[in-house]
Amino acid sequence: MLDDPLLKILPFAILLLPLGGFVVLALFGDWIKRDKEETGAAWLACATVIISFGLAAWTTVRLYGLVAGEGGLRFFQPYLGYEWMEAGGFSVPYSLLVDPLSCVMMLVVTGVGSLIHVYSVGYMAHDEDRVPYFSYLNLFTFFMLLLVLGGNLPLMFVGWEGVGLCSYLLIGFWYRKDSAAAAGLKAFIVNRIGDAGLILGMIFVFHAFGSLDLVDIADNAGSLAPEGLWEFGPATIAALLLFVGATGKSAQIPLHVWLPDAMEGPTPVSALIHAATMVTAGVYMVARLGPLYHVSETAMMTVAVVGAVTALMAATIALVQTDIKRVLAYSTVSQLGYMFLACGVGAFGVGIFHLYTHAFFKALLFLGSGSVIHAMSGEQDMQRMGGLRKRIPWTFWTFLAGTLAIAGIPFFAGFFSKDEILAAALGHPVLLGIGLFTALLTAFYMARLLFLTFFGDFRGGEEAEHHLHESPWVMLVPLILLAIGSAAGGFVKIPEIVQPVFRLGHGHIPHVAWLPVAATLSAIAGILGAYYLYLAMPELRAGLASTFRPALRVFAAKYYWDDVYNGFVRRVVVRGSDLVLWQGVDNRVVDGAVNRTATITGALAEMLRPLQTGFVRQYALLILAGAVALLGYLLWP
Amino acid sequence: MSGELDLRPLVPAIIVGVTGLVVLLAQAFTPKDRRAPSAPLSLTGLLAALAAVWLLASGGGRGAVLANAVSADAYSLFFQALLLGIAAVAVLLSPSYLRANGLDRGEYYALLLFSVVGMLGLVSSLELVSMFVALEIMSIALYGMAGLYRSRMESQEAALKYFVTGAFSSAFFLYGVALLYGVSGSTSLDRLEWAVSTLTTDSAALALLGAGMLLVGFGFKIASVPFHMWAPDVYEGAPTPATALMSAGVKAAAFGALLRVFGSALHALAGEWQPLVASLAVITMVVGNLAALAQGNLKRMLAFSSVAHAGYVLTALVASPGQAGEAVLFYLVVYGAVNLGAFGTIAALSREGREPLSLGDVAGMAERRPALAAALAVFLVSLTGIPVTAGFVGKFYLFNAAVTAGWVGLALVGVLMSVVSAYYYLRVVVAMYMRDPLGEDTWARVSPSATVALALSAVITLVLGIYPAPVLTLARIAARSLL
Repeated sequence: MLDDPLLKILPFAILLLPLGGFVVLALFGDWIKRDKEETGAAWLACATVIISFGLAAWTTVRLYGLVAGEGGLRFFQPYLGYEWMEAGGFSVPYSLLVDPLSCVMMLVVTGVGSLIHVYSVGYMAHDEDRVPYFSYLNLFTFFMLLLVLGGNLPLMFVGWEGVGLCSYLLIGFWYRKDSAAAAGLKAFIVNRIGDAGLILGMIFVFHAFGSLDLVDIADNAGSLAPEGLWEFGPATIAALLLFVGATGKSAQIPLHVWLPDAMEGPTPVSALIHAATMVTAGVYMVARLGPLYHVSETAMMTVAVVGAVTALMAATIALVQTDIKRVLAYSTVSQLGYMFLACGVGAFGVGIFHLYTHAFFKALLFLGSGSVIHAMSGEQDMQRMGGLRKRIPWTFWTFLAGTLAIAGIPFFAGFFSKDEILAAALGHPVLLGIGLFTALLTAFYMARLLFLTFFGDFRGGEEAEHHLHESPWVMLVPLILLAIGSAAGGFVKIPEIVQPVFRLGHGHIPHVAWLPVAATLSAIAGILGAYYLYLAMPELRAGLASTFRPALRVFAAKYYWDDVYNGFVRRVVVRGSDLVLWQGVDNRVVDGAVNRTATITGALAEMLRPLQTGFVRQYALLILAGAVALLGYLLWP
Repeated sequence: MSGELDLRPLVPAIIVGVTGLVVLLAQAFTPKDRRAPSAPLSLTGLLAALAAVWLLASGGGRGAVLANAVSADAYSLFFQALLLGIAAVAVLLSPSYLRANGLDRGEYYALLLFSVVGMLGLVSSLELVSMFVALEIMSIALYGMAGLYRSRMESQEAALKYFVTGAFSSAFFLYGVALLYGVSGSTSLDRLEWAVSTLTTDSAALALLGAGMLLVGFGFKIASVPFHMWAPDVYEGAPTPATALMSAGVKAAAFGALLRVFGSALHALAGEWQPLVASLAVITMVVGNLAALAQGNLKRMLAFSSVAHAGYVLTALVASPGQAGEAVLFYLVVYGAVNLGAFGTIAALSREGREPLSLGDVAGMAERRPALAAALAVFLVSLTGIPVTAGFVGKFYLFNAAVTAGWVGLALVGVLMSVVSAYYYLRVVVAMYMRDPLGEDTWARVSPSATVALALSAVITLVLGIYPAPVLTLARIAARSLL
């Protein structure tokens, strides 16, 4: 079973190809740029990811040539022969894990990743910083693959941090826009909070299992004593801390605030990082550690509730956005909530299923919106669009496929995965209700986006209308392929494929006949609602808006999360650190008590000799006080 | 005790000390119009001492003990190699900086070497009085270095403050030694360990009092809150390569001695001093990081960051000596490389008495000096503790040690404070990569020797992040001497 030599090499090759692409572009980018068409660098980046995809597919095929182990699980752990960290009873080897779950993930990453790389060739054709852009994109792919292939938690964490770094670099890519740099920084800071949870969680996992190896954790989780609701045993604490990390990366309440701002980056980046791959890392991690989560009822409930509430909240915010990319951003947050809902009710395979279908349709929608923005010469406000259906037909038809898929119209990909999630939540009426209602909202805001953008009359003015043009074929081919995926991808039975990974038996989800009907009806209701409000009877809108004004105001203010956080950071943590950061090019900007004392001392020093300020005495006094406190503690009976 | 004196443990220190004297003499015999070869001489001496450490470690010298007071055990040798390496890098950083600031005099190198003699003694002392002597050798040389920048008011002021408060803290240390002598009738750590494990109630109070006094003395040298006030002033006022040596070397040497005294000799009292060290760690991390947040001056920011890092290292001291030793030793290597790099970058750019100290000074650095900006980014990312750099591995070991010992809250504070620290380290990276330059690039070209120093630090930072196993193994072997 372990003697397939190819399996020992292939996963490393998959990883190293994009890394090699990055290294070549970083070192020789300027030289490659010299060719006339100036697309050499771009195609090199594409080639590495496409070949990686081929190798990933080959690896998957070889994996299924292995003899299945217990519970029908086939897995393989290629080992590089080195340890990363090692200490008494504790070792972190450079080893990967190839099993059905990581195969699905790496196929999604390299598959969707290839299409987005190709699309970028067209989208970034006029940008002068293409070479660094593609090198970051390649580096991102490497780290993302490391995240899903890493055989232990620390290695996964390296990928986790790496994708964060690349996301930060790529959001701030157009750094001459201040808002882009601010968004990059926000993403980074928020994710640091999540990562703190992740590190602590890792430490707790180590002390619960004595190992950080993913296979060891999955195998041994079953032997932990189950922990009920409000019972905070080792599994619960570890799982909850790790979930803090997941909420950071996957933009769930309360750390969701960075994702919408991340849309400042180039659109293909939004599609790859902030829709299809990186933001799903939290879902992957929770599913990967599914056996651990399953031990703790508290952790499962937390995941489910946070997911459901985030899904609903983000969907309501999406209702009132007018920037095409922001609608999609909130939609992503909402769909990620669905995935966590599935994991939280125990259907980890279904969560991964939705991750997989979402990768198709959300990448498609983002790339489609990129094509729209491209046609509109950079305009992102839907209020200035309209009637684009006839002008950019390829974009429209593919976009339609994505919209139907996300709305959950039968036999499109999203229908299957969403239906499975709702079926899994059958035992929890409240969660099920939230899920169904969110499905209605999803259909509504997506139809609204579709109608505002592609239907009606063009509202952008003559100048913009003159410039309208369909995107080049390098951008359309990825759209068409993703549209095919969005339409047909749901027929692959992902939950059955990955189920053995979770060591939870069949995980059969009981289906009831009325559920798909109810889900479909709510989707249709959402679309019809949008049709009446935005196409057929737009005059109804004003009346509705005044009826629901308080609610709409909350939606428009994004539930005040940003305001609360800003207030907290400004007042409590470091008042005015923003000033130092963004205007702090001046040495004299004085912030905080420490600097102020230093300045006052400086002023005094001119009048008095240094020793006479009493400053040294003050230092000595502090030492004395410290010593007294210290000795006092030691001698306290 | 054997009849003859075994001088082998002292050989590295002797080589460095003699080199210091040679540097002074060379300065005196060099004609006025020529420049004394101080830096090459110092470097040669340090490398020779490093070779001596190597010979001691590989030959039969390991484990040699001089008069039950100075030892060449694995622990000493590990630290000596580290300290000599740090000093060598600091020497590499010095010539261009000293010339740019009109400080190019032999005394600088002599003082540097003498302070290294003290550090070497500090980590290899098995006896409290020789430890104190070594501490003073190191400190007095450092007071001189802090005040070397005679034309600058801050430098003078810093040296005086450092001296006065340093003397104050030394008094605590000495008093602690006296009290512990009262408990054990000896200043030898071996005897102390034995005496402490057989304490009566009365002598326990005496021992605790002594331990507390020592902790104050060490707390001053490692710049732990509330004994840290000198650090920002001194780090800011001293010539920058000297600052690099202080932050990397002094901290390593002081932690080396602290760990030997508390981890091994006073380990029987661990139940008493561990909560204290834990509280010191917490306030040090909190105050250091919050103060660093408020700094606009890069050198002061790095000074408070160095205070904060003393706190991170203290967290590991609550673990068993073996585990604490391994984590602390590894971290000090990482920290040495990273801090030499960070201060070194500032020093390397210094020109005509100026150095880049504000965010505005480094704005847009990535466009003008891509390699230098990348190196500084690596150091700052490592200080933050992000993977692929050594800082992550180091912090992981420190916090893991604390959690293993059951101090989860302590690790929690450490991790949260690391999150806070991302903010101030990162804004330098943001300024370098995402801001446009403010004016002409008037900074110095980086000299070849500084390039070597910075490249070395960056490579170590990255290699230890990806493949730390060899150094970890060495740290583990060295820590075993404590048991």
